[in-house]
Parts: sequence; C-alpha cells; structure tokens
Amino acid sequence: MAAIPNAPGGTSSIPLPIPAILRDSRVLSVVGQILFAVILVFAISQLWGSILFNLSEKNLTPNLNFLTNRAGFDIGERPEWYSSASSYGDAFTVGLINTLRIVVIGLVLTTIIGILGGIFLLSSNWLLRNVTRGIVELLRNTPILLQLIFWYTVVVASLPDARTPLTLLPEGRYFIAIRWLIYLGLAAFLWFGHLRQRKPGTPGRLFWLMAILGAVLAFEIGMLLFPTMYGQVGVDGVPLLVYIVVSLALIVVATNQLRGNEQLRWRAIGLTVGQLAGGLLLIFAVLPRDGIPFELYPSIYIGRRGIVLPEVYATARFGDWLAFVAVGVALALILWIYFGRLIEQTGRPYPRLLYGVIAIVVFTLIGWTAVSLEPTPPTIPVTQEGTTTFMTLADARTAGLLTTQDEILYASQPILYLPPVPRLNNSTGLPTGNYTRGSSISPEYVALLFGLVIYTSAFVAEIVRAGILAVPKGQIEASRALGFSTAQTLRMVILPQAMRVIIPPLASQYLNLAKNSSLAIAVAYADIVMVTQTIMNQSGQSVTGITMIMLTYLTMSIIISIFTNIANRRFQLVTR
Amino acid sequence: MTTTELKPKRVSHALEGDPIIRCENVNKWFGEFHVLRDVSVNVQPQEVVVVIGPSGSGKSTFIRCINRLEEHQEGKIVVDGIEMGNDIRNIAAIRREIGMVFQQFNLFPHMTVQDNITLAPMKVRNWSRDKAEAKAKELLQRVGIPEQAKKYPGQLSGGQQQRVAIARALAMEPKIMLFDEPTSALDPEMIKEVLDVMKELARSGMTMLVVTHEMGFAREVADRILFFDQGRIVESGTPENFFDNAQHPRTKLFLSQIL
Repeated sequence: MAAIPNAPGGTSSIPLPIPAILRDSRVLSVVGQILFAVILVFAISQLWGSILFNLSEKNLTPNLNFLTNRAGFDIGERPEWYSSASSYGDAFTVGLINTLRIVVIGLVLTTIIGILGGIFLLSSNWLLRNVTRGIVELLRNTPILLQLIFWYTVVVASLPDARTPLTLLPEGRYFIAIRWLIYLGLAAFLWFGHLRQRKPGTPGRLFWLMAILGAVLAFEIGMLLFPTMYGQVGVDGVPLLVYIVVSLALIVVATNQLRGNEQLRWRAIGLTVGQLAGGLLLIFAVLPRDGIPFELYPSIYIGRRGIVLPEVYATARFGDWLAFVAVGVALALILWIYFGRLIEQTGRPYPRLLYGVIAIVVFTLIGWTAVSLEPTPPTIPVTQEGTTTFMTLADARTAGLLTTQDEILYASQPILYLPPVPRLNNSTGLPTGNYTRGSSISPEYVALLFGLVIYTSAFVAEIVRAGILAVPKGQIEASRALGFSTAQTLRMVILPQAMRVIIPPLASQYLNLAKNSSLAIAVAYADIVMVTQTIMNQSGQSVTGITMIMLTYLTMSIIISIFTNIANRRFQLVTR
Repeated sequence: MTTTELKPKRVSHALEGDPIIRCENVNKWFGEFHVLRDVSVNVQPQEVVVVIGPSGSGKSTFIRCINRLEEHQEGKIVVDGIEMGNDIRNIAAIRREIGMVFQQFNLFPHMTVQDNITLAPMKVRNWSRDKAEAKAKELLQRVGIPEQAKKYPGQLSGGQQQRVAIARALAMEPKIMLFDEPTSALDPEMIKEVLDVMKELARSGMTMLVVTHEMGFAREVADRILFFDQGRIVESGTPENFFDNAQHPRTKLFLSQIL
C-alpha cells in the first residue's frame, strides 16, 4: 500500500492524482468565488441581451429620454405645479413626494406609538395592558393589505357626504383683551420668584401671588360691575377717596391683627394691597381696556373627499412678529443654559423646559399684540375695470375686489389664514363638494398613513416590550433601592439599556414601513409605484420604470439603515 | 410612637433610643409558599447584624422586605420611625435612607463608574454635580479604586464592581446598609477585597444587615447573628454564643456541615 504524503493514517487505496495546489483550501475558496462570479455575469448578460433585443424589436430600448415627454394624465394627490401637461419626470417626482409624505410622517408616528404601546404592554394596569395586548395581537395576525382596505372603508364610510361636510371652527369675531397678556406676563414673572431664596421676614412668592390675584380680581370685578368707572377719576372724587381709605384700613388691619401667623399675614397683606392697586389701575385707566379682534370663519371642512384646510400665509407684518419670537427663543436658550448650570451647581431641579416655553409663549403673544396694534391704512387702491380707485378695506372686501396679495399686504395680523371657499352649483346654488381655495388631505392618505402606522406600531410595541424585558431585573431593583421613582427608573436605567436590544429589529420594522408604503395602490393613493405604473403603461418604458422604483426604495432603505446604524453604535455597551 | 408624617428636612423620625429597624410578626407568602413566618427583629443604630441560614430559608426575602423590594403581607416594618406600607411617599423616604448591595452588583452598565455613583445623589437628593463628584471621588478612594472613575462597569473585575456598588449605595449617605450575599458571585481571591471594605464600614459605625455565607466575616464583625430556617428566626445571639454554644438542633446541624 502506497503511503500518501501528508496524510498519515490515510486508508485510501488509490492515490488521487490531484496536485497539492488544488488541495489548498485557500486556493479552492478563491477559485470557487471566481467560478460563481463568471456564471453570474454570464447569466445576467444573457438575460439583459435578450431583454434589449426583444425591446428594440418593439422600438422600446430602455432610456431616460421619455421623462421629458408630456405625461397627459392627472394625479389625484398632487402639488399645485403639476397638471396633465407636465412631463413624465414631473409625474415621477409627484409620486416620490407622495411616498415620502407617507414614509417620513409614518416613521415618526410609528416610533412614538410603538414605544408607548411597548410600555403599555408591560403596564401594571390590568385593563391597559390587556386591551393593548388584544389590539397588538389583532394587528399582527391579519394581513396588512386587508387592514388598509378596512381602514379605507372605515375612513370613507365614517366621513359625511362631501356636499354636506362637517365644518370646524365656528364663524364669528373674537377679542383677546390686551390686559390678559399682561396678567400672563405677571404670572410668568412670578414663576421666577422662587429663584432667589426667601429671607425670613420678607414677603415670599405667595405674597406676590395674592397681590396679583387681588389686583386682577379688583380690576376684572370692577370692569364687570362698574364699567363706567374706567378712567373716571375727575368726576367721582369722594367715592375714590372713600375707596382708598377703606383699602388702607384693610391693609392696616391685616398687618396688625394677623401677627403670629406670618404666612397668612403676608397673604392677607398681599391680597389687600393688590386689590387697591387693581382698583387704582381701573380708575386711572392704566390698563388698556381694548382687545385684539380675531375673525374666524368655518375653516376646516371634513367630507368624504377629504379634509380641506385653510390656506395659511405670512403677511407683511410677519417679519416683525418673527423678530419677537426670535427674541423669545433666544431668551429660552439663555434660560436653558443658565438654569442648566444652576442645576449642576445647586442640584435644585429647576423646571427649565417650562421657563423656556413660558419665555417663547410670552414673547410670541406680546409680539402678536405689538404688530397688530399698528392700524391698517384708511383706504387702499383697488383696480376695477382698468381704473384705480381708493376704497376702505372693509368696502373692498365686501365688494369682492381684494386679491389674495391685497389680503396679505393689508392684514393686521402677522399670519393670515384664508378659509376654503366651497364652490357652489351654478343652477341649484348648493355646495358641490369642491373648493376654490384651501389645501386638502385626502381620505386615501389618511387611511394609508393610519393603516401603516398602527400595523407597524404593533410590531414595534412587541420589540420595545422584548427590549425592556431584556434588561436584567436586578437593574430595576438597584434603581428602586437607590430611591428613583418609576419614571426615573424607566428613563435613566431601563430605556437606555433596552435601546441596545430594540434598535436592530426596529430598523427592520422601519424598512418594512417604507416598503409597505407601496401597498398604496390598494387604496388608490398616488404613490411612486402607482404613478410609475401609469407612466410605464403609457410610455412602454417598463424596464426603466421598474429600475427607477427599485433604486428609489433602495436609496430610502440605505438612508434609514445609515441612521439606525449610527443610533445602534451609540447604545453599545463598553466592556473592554 | 410611630410617626408616618413626613417633614422635608432630613431628620430621624425615630425617637432617641428606639431601634432603627423594627419588625413585628412579619409574614409573607409566595403563592402557597410561606416564606416568612412571624419574623420579629429590632436593629439598633450602628449595629451589625449578620443573617445566615440554608438557601431557601427566607433570609434574602427578609432583608428585601426592609426596603420594599418585596412586599410583606402581614406584620409591621418600621424603618427610622417611618412605617413601611403602601404609601409611596413613605417608601421613597425609606429607600433614600437605605443603601443596598446585591449579589450580582447591578451596576448600570451604560454609565461610567463615576456616573453610577453620582446619579442618585443628584437626581434623588438634588445635590450639585460638584458635591456629588467630590463625594464619588472620596468614596472611590475609600473603597480603594480611585483610578477607575472614568471606566465602565464592564471594564472592571467582579471585586472592583462590587466595591463600586458599595460606593454607589454609600453616596446617598444612607443610615442603613443592606448586603444581599455580596461575595457569593465573586472569585475566591476577590472576596477579601470586598469583605475588607465591609469591615471598614462596620468599624465606622454604619448600621448593617448582611446576608452572607462568610462565617469568618460573621464571627469577626457581627454584633449579632440571626439564623433563619424555613422562614423563621430559630436562633439569635452574639457570634461567640452562636458558633460555640448553639442551642437549636437545626443550627447545630447547619454549623456541623459548614465548619
């Protein structure tokens, strides 16, 4: 028996005539890969060649030139610039925009609803937990296509007829009194009152609260009961004197009689001083009595053809108002940083988010008031049958001579909304269900978005639940033992660790949502697939069309993957 | 005598000379299984109590009832003058005053050692970052690993992790420390470094309740030893009495098997 070199103990009776180089596992693996690549390239080139040949027979060689051709079809869900006269390329862009409208908003909503759902699935509240469990099971175990059709039917069936739509925001003219903004500012100021430590024997925050309350009550009750007193100081000298003397007496009584209970005493002094101040403000007409008018028309129509929203425009005064808002935002940022430092230094948990919100809200409202106070010009030029005449704004509006540009130019508020105008039937005068102004959200969009979001959220909820359960129980016990509340435990200990487990499967659910958006065709929503199908049918460029759709979804998926990979890396634990 | 009313200042609610932990006839069941049967113990301030017993005897469950990681169903537990009940404000107040060290360390793996230690003082006691970090530095020095502050728990050895866990519990400046088998998950050569820290802590006057199988530690440090069997305290006494002069046959059997 011949011995085989390098094969001790080999029992093979026939020595194989294979050279050593072909028994090398490294060589074999390279050769295998080359072979596979060659076969693959050959197969694809054959397939491609035969497609090209067949298509060129029909004069349909794949190319991109058709994109500039006139599309000739309308799209149900389209921006204003698109019409049937636009090109195939434009139609494709509209489809892309429609798909992105679903995917981007869908991802945000799915994340929020899914995380909440996951937390609900683990809630200690029996009802909440089991109701969520039931919904999740129902959603996960029925096909998405069926759900989309179901939601579309439900959405459409639940909406009123397009000719008798539900209207939101009642018609009318409302006033926001300027003084309420001042009260709001005072209340905000009061929030900052507890920033400094109160020294014993000085009035605290409750004093100021009671003082403001007293002033507001005195002013408002005065306005309600004696509106004629406003600014009437010269006429009724004696009652004014009596009022001041009585108020002073009350203050003295509060100061002297309530010694011993410091808190109550300061509150009583605050209330009496405040009501005197409020009364004087009323009598001397210091606080403005006026209000800023807001006109509201029926502005949201909900019918079977969709939800029609008003057009919103920035007027000529928008810039000035924006400057106020910017100041508010800057102040909020400064407060955020300042209180961030203060929290680090003192450890006191200042609600700095609340401070920021208050700063922005107050400046927004003050800005709105300030820019609205400037009067509109008494008359405006209007062009009527070639001649320009001057009319008052109200007359021009009544005469229907105001263009949208005029409305924007002469509006007294920074943001103008123009309500949708129902188009009436010429002969009967009844609504037709169409609108001459306003932007609409279609029932198809609502049904698709809703269906995709809650379907995907059910899976995300399960993923979040599993992620939370993957955090060792000891972590929760340690957190509890240190004295953290349930909310703190969830936010600082559980979720950061659960994210590590959650993100990879979450990323694949994100991709699912993006890809499932192509089911839009089931509810006739004009997404990229539906639009491109029409393009392919008309132009015959099916290979190009399919390739374009595939590249679009591929790009979308890659972008989602990049972001989730970045997030994934951030939550990895350091172990060495 | 029991005051459940809370005041904002950090004061003891117990009267002078009262035990800091008072358990009266505590009973607990896991389903049908009776884990704790009429457990009554008083622990004085600065006392070191070691709890030993066979596994499944309820000793861990007992100390976990003291900071409400487990709920007792009958009886009364009063810690630092506050009765442990369903009032979440009382539970939070008690937990602030009790530090706990676990068998599995339970450090937060996504935070550095320093953040592990400073988180609770800053978020629960509202300390400034400076104060919390100074405290963390001091405590890491005390447990002998000042150089590890910026590392993550996963980068440390078991013994080092357990010492960080002790520092984390101490950062809240608790009045009582609970140890639930702190050395059971450690390699034999790391046990000593953890026990040394615990001995130092006991000498400094901390009130401690320790569940352990380290008989040497119990003999050296304990003021009192409780022996649990089947949810009952069957024997209680000083280390000398316990190890050399055990009365109950179950204790004698246990000691004969481990010593």
